[in-house]
Amino acid sequence: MLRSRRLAALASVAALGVLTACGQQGAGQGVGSNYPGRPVTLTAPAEPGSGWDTTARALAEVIQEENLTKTALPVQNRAGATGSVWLSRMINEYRGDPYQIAVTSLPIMSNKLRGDSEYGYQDVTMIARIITEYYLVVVPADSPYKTLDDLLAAIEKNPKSVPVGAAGDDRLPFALVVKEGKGDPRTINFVAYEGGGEQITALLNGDVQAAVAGVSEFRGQIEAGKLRGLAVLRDERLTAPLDDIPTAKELGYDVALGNWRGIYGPPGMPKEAVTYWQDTLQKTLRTDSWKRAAAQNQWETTYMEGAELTAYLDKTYEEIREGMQSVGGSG
Amino acid sequence: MGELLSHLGEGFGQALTPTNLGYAFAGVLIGTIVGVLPGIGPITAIALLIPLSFGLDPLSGLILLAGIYYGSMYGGSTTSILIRTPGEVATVVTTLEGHEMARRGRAGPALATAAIGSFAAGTFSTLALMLLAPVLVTVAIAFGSAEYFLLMLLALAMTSSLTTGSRLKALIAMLFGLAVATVGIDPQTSVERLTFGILNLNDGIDFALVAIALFAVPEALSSLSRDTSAAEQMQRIQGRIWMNREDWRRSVGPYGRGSVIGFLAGLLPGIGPTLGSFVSYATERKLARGRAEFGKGAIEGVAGPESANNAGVGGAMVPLLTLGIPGSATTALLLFVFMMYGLQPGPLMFREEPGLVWAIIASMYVGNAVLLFLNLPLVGLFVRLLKIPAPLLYTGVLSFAVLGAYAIGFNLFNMLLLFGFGIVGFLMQRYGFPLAPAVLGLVLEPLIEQNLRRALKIAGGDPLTFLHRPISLVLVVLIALAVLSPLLFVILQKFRTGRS
Repeated sequence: MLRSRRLAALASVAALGVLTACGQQGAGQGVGSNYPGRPVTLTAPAEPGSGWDTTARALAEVIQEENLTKTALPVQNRAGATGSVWLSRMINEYRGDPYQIAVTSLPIMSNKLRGDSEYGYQDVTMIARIITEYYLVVVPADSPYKTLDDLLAAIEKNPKSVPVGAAGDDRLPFALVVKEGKGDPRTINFVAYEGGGEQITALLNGDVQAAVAGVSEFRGQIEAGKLRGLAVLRDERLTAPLDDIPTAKELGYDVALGNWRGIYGPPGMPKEAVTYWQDTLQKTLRTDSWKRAAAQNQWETTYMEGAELTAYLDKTYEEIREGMQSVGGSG
Repeated sequence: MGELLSHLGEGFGQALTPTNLGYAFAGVLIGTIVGVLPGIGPITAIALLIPLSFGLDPLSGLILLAGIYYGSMYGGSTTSILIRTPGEVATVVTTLEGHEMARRGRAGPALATAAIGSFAAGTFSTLALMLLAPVLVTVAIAFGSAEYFLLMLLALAMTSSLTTGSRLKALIAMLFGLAVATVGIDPQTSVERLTFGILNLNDGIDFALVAIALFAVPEALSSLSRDTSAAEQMQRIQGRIWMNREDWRRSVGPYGRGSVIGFLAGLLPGIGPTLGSFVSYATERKLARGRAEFGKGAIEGVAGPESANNAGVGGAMVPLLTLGIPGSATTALLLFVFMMYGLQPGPLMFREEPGLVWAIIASMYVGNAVLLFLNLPLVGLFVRLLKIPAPLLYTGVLSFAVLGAYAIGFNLFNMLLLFGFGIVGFLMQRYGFPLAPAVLGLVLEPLIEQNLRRALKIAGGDPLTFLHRPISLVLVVLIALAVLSPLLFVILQKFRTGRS
């Protein structure tokens, strides 16, 4: 059993090579009852090891382990312009192809709103939302800022002296908090970092006074007592051991913004294929292996599909648009 | 200490079962084969082969991946030496002396010293990781953006020693590398720079692609453009395939220095093995002072950098295991693998999961040792590749370069870039511009720029920030020395000759 699965994995690696080498296109074919008749490619449009990549790999791993599809599900990395390069290829080269799916998240909205991408989530087939990650504001454990109020007061008094580490898309949620606190988001001294690791280093060596990113980036350091969580931008508190971190809402700042992550297919993906993946994903998320993987990566499983998903995406898109406008260049 | 040994003993006890040794061999073999393809460095190799490791028990999976990691690093060195095609940026420096050695019929000793240096450095860095990780982690985070910026500047100041020819041409080559690196979306402000509206340029230009283009393509073009039947370009194997006593004597020092330099560079998140290998090369060259034939196949220039890039692996594991901070894409991928096995690297891991930590360390040892035992016998085989007639060999090199360039981004745009930069490389070589400073500039620019801007933003625009902290002050002094020392040297000599 073990052996055969490994062989299948090897075969899928080989198949991936062959498929990509041929630059195969499967546009427009119909989907029979035996879908998927051949391997479906799951693309992480970012580098190996990134958030999208780990999501894709965890999904593929669980699906294969639990035998939830008949065929192999090879994961490929196609990094480029925060997903925009792959997005445009899905639209221009794979229209209607039931054998291509990909991971995406909030940047599919912000890239378009900023004008960095011609396309948005509206131009592809959104299959499902699978997880949500909430933002967390942290300071070093020995920071003079004990509460979110302390931090915001310091920023209001002298924004330059309080550098805040945040990746591009993570500035918006913090800017919104500052705005709620009647500060001027345009004066925040944001310093760009590419990931949680860089931010942690900068917090620990004193380069930045505070940082904002997804909960999973900081959790280990908070548990180890090196960082302190000031507020989580979520409607309710997190579960133990992070349940002593207040929500921004409790503290009087009405900001709750989540970074959703989901799966999309090319535009015009056959309905049967969409339903197939919605069913498969739902089954996957219910397995114990997924729950374990999600717990380890600190992802909150928040499955959503169909009309409900469309409404959610539209609402979030509007929130981000308004947020970006209201905080000016700092978002 | 006793506890440490018993943990390690346990780790080895598990790692050395026949099954696990089998996985180590399989990993190293697959890694070496895949790593020989240009453009497919450790990260791609691991990403492609991760599915193989799932379903195995964690230790076997980790051993398999460690084998793939070491194997693919070494595979990249092999092509750098034999056909001047760096598999990835970390092995660019190896081409400088390694390929020169191969041209003089000494590919065997070059490959051997690379394998032995990798093994020695791998062992050193694993030991250092094991014994000193908790102490070293303070070093890893002591470097803020000001220090990073100055450190990179120091590395650039040392590039003048990367070449024998004109300093001005080296400087121009370096500036070319810096300029190419600015293409793409500016990470601080999200503004597109020099992208000309081409979406594929938004992420900038891949380092490995440029390295392949600058080194492999011109090599193939110039070999094919010459009349090979008249004058044989590549000399056949001369003397022994194995290293002689003299080779050993000259390699030992670089092994040691390369290991230390590579390990220290690897400690710093975001730097990776490339800087270590460049600095090691520069160091060896400075120490040799013309005694060795640098630029014409000096074995020190292979032994040092090859040790350094392998030692960087152990160095990078320090922030990964102790802080959960991945310093590179490869370690980020390893972090994911650890998490899938139920491990949470970070401050608590050494305390809560000592068993698995030691298993990881033991698997690094095993992968490293297997690399040596598998690859030394293969040296003879690899060397025989050079017996392929030049037209066939270089046609093969070109096709591999093209395949590698395609594999980096899986798009045709990369092929255009490959040949564009290939032609630039051809012209640079023709007119005596050194290629290595261009690659170094390319690799360091993002770090220099990002950290300079961060440091200034953090300090509210005050440039004196670079003098405030002790580490940064020391770095400023070193840079001043590196820039002024040739000048001082000249003055000193004039003074001396004047007196006598």
